[in-house]
Amino acid sequence: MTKQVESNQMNHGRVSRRLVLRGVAAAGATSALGALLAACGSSSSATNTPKPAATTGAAGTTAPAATTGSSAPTTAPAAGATTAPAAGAPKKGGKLRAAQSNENATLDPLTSGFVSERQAYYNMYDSLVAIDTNLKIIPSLAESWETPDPKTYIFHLRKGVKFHDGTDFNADAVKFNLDRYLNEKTSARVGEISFIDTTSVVDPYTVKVALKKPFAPFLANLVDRAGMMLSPAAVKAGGADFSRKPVGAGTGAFKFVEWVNNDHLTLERNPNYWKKDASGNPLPYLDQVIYHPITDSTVMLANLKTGDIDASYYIPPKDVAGTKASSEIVLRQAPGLSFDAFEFNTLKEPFNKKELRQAVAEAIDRAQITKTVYFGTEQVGYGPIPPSSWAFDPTLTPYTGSVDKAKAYLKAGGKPDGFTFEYLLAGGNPVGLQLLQLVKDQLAKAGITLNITQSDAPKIQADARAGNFQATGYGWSGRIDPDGNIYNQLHTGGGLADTKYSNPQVDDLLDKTRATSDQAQRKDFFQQVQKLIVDDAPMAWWGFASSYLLTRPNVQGMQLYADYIMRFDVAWLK
Amino acid sequence: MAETAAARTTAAPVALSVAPKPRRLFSWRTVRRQPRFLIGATFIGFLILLALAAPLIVRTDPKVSHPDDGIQRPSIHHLMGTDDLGRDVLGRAIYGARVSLAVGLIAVGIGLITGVTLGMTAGYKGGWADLLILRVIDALLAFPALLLAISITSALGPNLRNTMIAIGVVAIPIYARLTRGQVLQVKEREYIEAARTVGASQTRVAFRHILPNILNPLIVQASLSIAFAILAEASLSFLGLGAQPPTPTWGADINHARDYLSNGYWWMSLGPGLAILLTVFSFNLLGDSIRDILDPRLRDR
Repeated sequence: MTKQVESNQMNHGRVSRRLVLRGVAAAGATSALGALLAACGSSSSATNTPKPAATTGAAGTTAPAATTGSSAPTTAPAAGATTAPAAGAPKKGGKLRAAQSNENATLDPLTSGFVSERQAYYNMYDSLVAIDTNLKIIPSLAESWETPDPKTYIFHLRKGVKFHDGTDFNADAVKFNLDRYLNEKTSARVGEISFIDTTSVVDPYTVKVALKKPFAPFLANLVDRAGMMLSPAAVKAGGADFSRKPVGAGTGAFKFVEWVNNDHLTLERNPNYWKKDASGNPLPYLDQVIYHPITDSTVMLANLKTGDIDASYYIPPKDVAGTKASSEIVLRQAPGLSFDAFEFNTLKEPFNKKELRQAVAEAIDRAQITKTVYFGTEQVGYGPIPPSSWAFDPTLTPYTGSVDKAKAYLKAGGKPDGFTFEYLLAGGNPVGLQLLQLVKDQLAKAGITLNITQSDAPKIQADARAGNFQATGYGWSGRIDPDGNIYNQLHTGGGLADTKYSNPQVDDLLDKTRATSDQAQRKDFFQQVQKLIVDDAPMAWWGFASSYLLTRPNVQGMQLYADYIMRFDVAWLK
Repeated sequence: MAETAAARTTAAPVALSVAPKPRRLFSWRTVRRQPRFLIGATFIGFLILLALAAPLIVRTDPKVSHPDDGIQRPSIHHLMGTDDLGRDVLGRAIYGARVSLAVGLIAVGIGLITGVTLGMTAGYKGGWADLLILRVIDALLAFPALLLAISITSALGPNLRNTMIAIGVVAIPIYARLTRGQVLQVKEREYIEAARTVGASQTRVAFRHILPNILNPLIVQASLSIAFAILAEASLSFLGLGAQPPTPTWGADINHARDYLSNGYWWMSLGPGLAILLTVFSFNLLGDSIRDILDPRLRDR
């Protein structure tokens, strides 16, 4: 575990521990396991970034601080200069084959647990609101909204939008969906919208949502699966099969055609899509989008090189530099939303002692990790809020990788000669393996012995949840609102709080970030919280991954988003 | 009565004299005619030496990373280059021999001893013991070998000891079946009957008279399954179920190096790749040639 962005299966978005199980060269036998282990996953991310922690690599990093987005997509220098918008008028038609880091488990946002599943969702289903490449929330199925008070949201819906099955999108549909996400027993969305008290239809195109208490991340959470609108008629008609055959369910740019497990998912153009391009032509341009799950990112890259895949969003860090120089692939890279960390069990020896957690956090040489393991594609980090976020704190650099300081922490923690602990690592992940061997050596310099125990990701996840571990990795795919990167992980009793960390001051501040919608104030609270948690070190954050978009040179019109979701509504093939 | 007793006593020596002389397994003459044996044995001997002398030959600790020396081509300092953490590829391959040979020998030892004991019991005792043991063996055989090893290691926890146990357990049914078959053949022979007649105890008959006469196929099988054990260990390490990093093992190293092939860092797979290839090849040569040496039908050709 450790590395990567993505995934999560139990709760709504949970750790990503990618597990790309690679086919064994030496000795067969893996195929069975492959299926077993391919659990979550995703790319190995890696990144390059804005300026703070001077990583190297990448010519085209984007702007300094906060925003993300690819306003300035990095293209391959000379050769692949195809991204420029002025590549001629968009052409209609064609099939695009997209890679996906994991096979989907379901096509119903209600039960979705893999972050990678969102790739197809965003192209089939529209949400009430969306984001632009700067992570700003923009209208989508809701044309506008107002918040007369912090506990009330009134959405004015777009008129004339039809679901793929021909039924109308209206206020009843919104109520149906929000109620479904909130009340269905199998819902994995509850955590994102649990503050909804009631949803009521004001008129056919106006919906009022009353919250139990102010909840600042509400709109941001509606961008994703919790805000995706499905046709009530299609959901009912689909019955138990709906999650595998969501026929006619969305309003999005593409309609569901067929899904063959572990082979492909085919979507086709929605001829009645409500979005138009800048010159008023109907979107989308593509006839079909076909997703192929390819868990092994090295294999995926080979497919992209040979043109068997046209677009992707993950790449092994070691291949970033080479791919940028290649004329066969256009690679865009920008700061993402994710963070990478190690997490400690704060209830168990030895990490029930704050100083010993700090010793580890201090002894980690983050710059060496990003350079050696991530080839400069990942940015050094110290907390959960990434540089793409408005709440990012570039001044937060509490740990320096100093052996002397680490030893001082050890002394303060009553273990001047160091200590030994076991680290659970998800097997089959080459990047994670390399990372942990390096960290082991880094900690050894301070006298701390890290013993690696490999296991399979689902088991580690269960063990971590149950408090049955000393230390393990925690890679989080990230959310648009900083709340999603911090609250459930660190608030006492949070749904993802493996560390069992509890600090009333932190809880109080976190609750305050939810209670106000004033961004400046929230930023202040978030930065205060970060200082506290980084000092308490229930987790040792060490890096931020990039978001990537990789395409064949003939793929035009696409933009890189920090959430690394490929939006094909504007894509076309030259 | 007296007569039959006399007949028996006289019959016994006759029957015994028919028993195959305990063969001299190897003589220089037979071995000389088997270059495969020489090649295989020489390489394995060399490998054992290397493994034992690893700390003397390899100057750097193969477990410790040197991030600043990462991914270097083969040079005079690093004959097979360095891996992504700056560790000497050749050094890790040499140290890896320790793990691989240990697994090969110990796992096969576990399989051999347990399997032969079970097989002897089943074949010699017959009856319900035979039935019971056979059913257990059949159940074990029903699982694909590697999958069984994976399940066992997952259940016991991933480390080197458990890997050896898992691979050993997987080998049990092979030996048990082989042994039982051989025992059934041999136990009806007259010299066994004779031994029983003169009052040799069951254990004595089993271990002094039957075992030596079924040893040949077992030796052949053992040399072949050492090769399997080494490959199995490589597969398990590959899945993270073998020795835990940073312990150098061929399987884990070649798996890791594989990722870098597409980047052109071919030397990273060179050490563990060659090691696995040559070792497995040598054990197979050895097994093959021993079989030929021991086969009386081929002996005089």
